[in-house]
Amino acid sequence: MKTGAATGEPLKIGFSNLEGGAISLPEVRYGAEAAVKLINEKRNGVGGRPIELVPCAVDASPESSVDCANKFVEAGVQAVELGVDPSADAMLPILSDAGIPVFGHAAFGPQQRQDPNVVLFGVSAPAAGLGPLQYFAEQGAKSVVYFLADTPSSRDFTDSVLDPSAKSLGLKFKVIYYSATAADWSVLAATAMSENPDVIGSPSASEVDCLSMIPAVQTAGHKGPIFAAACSLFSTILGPAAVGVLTYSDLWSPTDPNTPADRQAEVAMYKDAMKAIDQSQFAEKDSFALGWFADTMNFARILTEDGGGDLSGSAILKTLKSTKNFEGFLGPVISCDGSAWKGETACGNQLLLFKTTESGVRNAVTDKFIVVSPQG
Amino acid sequence: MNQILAFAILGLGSGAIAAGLAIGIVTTAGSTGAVNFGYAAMVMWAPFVFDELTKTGRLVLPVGTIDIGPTSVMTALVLGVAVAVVVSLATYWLVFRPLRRTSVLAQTVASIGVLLCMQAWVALRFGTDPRVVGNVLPNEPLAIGSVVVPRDRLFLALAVVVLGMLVAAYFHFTKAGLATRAASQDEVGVQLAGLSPSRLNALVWVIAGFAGGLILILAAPTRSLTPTSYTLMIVPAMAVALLARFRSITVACLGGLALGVVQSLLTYTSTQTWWPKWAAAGMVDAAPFILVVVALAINGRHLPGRGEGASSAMPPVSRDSLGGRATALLTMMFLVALMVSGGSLRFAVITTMIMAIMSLSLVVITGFVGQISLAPVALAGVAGFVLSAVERRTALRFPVSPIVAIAAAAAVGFLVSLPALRIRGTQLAIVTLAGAVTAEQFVFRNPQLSPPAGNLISNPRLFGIDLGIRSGSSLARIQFGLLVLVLLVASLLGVRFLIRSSFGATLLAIRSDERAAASVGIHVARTKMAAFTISAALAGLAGVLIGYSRGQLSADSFTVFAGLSVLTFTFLGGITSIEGAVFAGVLAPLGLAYFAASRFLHLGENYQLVAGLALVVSVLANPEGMSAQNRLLASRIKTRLSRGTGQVGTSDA
Repeated sequence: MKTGAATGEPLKIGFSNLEGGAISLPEVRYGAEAAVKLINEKRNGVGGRPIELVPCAVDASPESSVDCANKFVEAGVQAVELGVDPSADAMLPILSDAGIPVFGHAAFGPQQRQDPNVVLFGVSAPAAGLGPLQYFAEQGAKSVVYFLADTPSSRDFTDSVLDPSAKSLGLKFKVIYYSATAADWSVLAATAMSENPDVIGSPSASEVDCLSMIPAVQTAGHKGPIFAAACSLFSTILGPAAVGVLTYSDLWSPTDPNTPADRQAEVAMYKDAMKAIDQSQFAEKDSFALGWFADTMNFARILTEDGGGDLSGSAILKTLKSTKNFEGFLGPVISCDGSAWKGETACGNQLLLFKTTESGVRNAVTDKFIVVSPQG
Repeated sequence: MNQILAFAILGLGSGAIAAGLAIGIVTTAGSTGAVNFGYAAMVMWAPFVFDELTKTGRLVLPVGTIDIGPTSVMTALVLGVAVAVVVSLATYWLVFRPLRRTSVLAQTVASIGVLLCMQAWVALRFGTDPRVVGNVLPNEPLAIGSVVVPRDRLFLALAVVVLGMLVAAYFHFTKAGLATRAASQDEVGVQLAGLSPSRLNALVWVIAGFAGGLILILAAPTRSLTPTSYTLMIVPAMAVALLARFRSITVACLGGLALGVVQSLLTYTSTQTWWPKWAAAGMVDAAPFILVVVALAINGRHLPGRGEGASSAMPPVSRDSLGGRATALLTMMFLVALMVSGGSLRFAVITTMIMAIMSLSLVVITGFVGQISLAPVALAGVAGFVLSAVERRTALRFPVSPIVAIAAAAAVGFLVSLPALRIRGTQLAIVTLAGAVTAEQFVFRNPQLSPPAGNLISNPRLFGIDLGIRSGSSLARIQFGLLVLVLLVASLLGVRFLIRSSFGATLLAIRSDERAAASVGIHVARTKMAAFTISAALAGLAGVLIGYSRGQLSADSFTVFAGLSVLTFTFLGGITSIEGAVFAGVLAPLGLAYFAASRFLHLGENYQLVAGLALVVSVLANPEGMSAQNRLLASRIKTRLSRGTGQVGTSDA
């Protein structure tokens, strides 16, 4: 790989992210910005062209996402990277019509999971739900209860993936749906406990929901494993209640001493890059910054390894979609040609499960990624 | 049996919050007559101040911070409640007191501004990271059969019952409380008795701040604390306040607790295998509203009682607004705007026109008939989702598919009109809000009706001509813009024809005084039903155009808060005038004002606070909306130029 500063015509990448409102996640953008700085100054950009990030803040309303999409089209971006944008589905028809491919880490809406113009570097939603079930079954669990937000896609996900897969794994399985806006977690926890499960948790709960779910489930008397999606805030806020809680991620953790030795160079690169933009505090703990640092690094490397010639929207999409057996930054081997999970835009079908320790640090429970396969 | 008891006790937690908020809403509604959508956001200062004090010893005020040092739970509780009281009193004095003689609508819109301000202000002062608040009440687990229940739920219920009794006792047994109730009917009489209605009302707001602040602190450990946690609880709290007819503290208290119990039991039973699948989605959120609607429809009256009288202080309606020349001028302006603009600016012009049609639906039903309805946005959503479903499941396409969708919205609008035959005023507003919640849960988020892959809408085509909004990088094609302009002009002319017709006269007669209208032979029920249906059709038209302009729809564009937002813009634009709907379109999300703010004002994290403050200030400066001010100005100019005014005011009693 060529090194040094990139000097060609900028490659514009739109970046939409939830910022400035009642919920604000600027660290997502910081991760992308740190990667862009590293790529531009040390890795010769993408085929010699520096990346220019065009950020746009959203407030979780479809209207703000539409406005950002319009801005991106007018700014002439070649691609759009999705940060945390709960209403990103609203952008897709606009960007698709304009021939602007979309990439990101995980889907925040149902259309992102199926739109042919989208590539997501993270683990697919079905694998994120199913992978832990596989692990729990291997560990001897007989009964699992999941909490899922009450949406049409969640119910379809349960009917088409989770229920048949759990049956195939020999698990007694139940999903309890909760209102995304007004969940009473003590009631939900008691409802879950009425099933006498070995494991209780959620593959998709938000940070706010995890903070309520974990104590509620413990207060309801559950003594077995608690699975808290990809949440991380609880480990610093809940204190002793966080010990032993399981979470998942599709990336090695920069704070986990169990991260393999051959990945430590990537950990150091991430920490140095975040320090270079004066945001090192996010690299010293588990934060969203890592996911988007990794995505941006993957994006640049995929295009560069392809030769970095034609960087039009259609060419970028074609290159991304032809990615196969690519080892992601601090992540597993991914393939974006649709083979990771049929019908999904996600490139990954592997994940890690972490257990929270007394110090708040998460340790991987396996020494390699768990490969998730469709069941049933 | 043990399990039912256990789940009932568990439900007391959220029930206590709903009850506490409802007590505050009923209390303040009694003094101002208006519903305060910002109440929960106002009193949520209390748990944030409490949590910050107990964790860091810092007293974070709306302005300024004082380092107190290690603070006991009791001290933090007292200070937290005190801050909520001060915020509540300040809100009354600065916002609701100046507006006390304006319309219920003006006060409602101002309360939405209060909601935005407070939510943003709390986020700026305390950050947006979620918090877990330490226990205040004893929380040891209590086993009821096989279910473990946190003990604090029982204490919470007890606290809210005691609080409700104290507040009710104030209004029934103290001189100040009785005088407050009297002042809500007749301020002059109370003044003649030597009492100050303003001071009495201020005391009421102190009580409301105390009640809400205290309950939210006690209940804070039951859920994660974020700036949006309690804002969303205003909707079920409104349902409870409605059940209490905005009058009875006792019903508000017991109703809130009952609501929590019902929702808890529904959460449990809806997971059972015998529960019908069609009712599994959204039942917990929607069912309480359904019960409220049924209860009020049964208890309501076909005509208002003697003295219940006219809609309070609505701005007058001009039957001569937007004449031929004005319509032509407006058409030319939009046409020129479409031709000279491009890209996202033209998209904003198109969205302005679509939202003007949406606002017209509110002008018809609220401005002309005096029925405060929060359903139009939900009805627009019904049309949009039906359009997507029709195109997905049948071979029907434009123009037949949107006509079917609009007809569906009109049919639902007809159903929405049925409660309106027996309920009116603020209560009708909440019932229509209930309808919007039900639509959101049972239609937009129902997996049986809404496919997991999303609600896609293809471009409209007519005789082979693509009328779609987008093509490639062209964000807003002129063809779609012209389609929308034609439909906007047709809607404006249609509504103008409506208000100038004899049917329009009957609408205004009903708005002025339903009893008087009935006494001269106007069939009030049939007229209302027709008006709701026409309003719903306009909303449906806006809904299908929104669908075509986006290419897809999500439920988040048609939520309760989206409905409040449209009501706000329509009010600011001028809810009793046709041209006001056009102003409203300019102000609406993705309209021209939004475009300008998004491109030229980089307010960052201060955006919501500035928007909320601007809204409150706008209402204070223009309690009848901007078009009323503009019409007043135009009238003065005409008088100066010695030409007659065209205003045929339909003033209210």
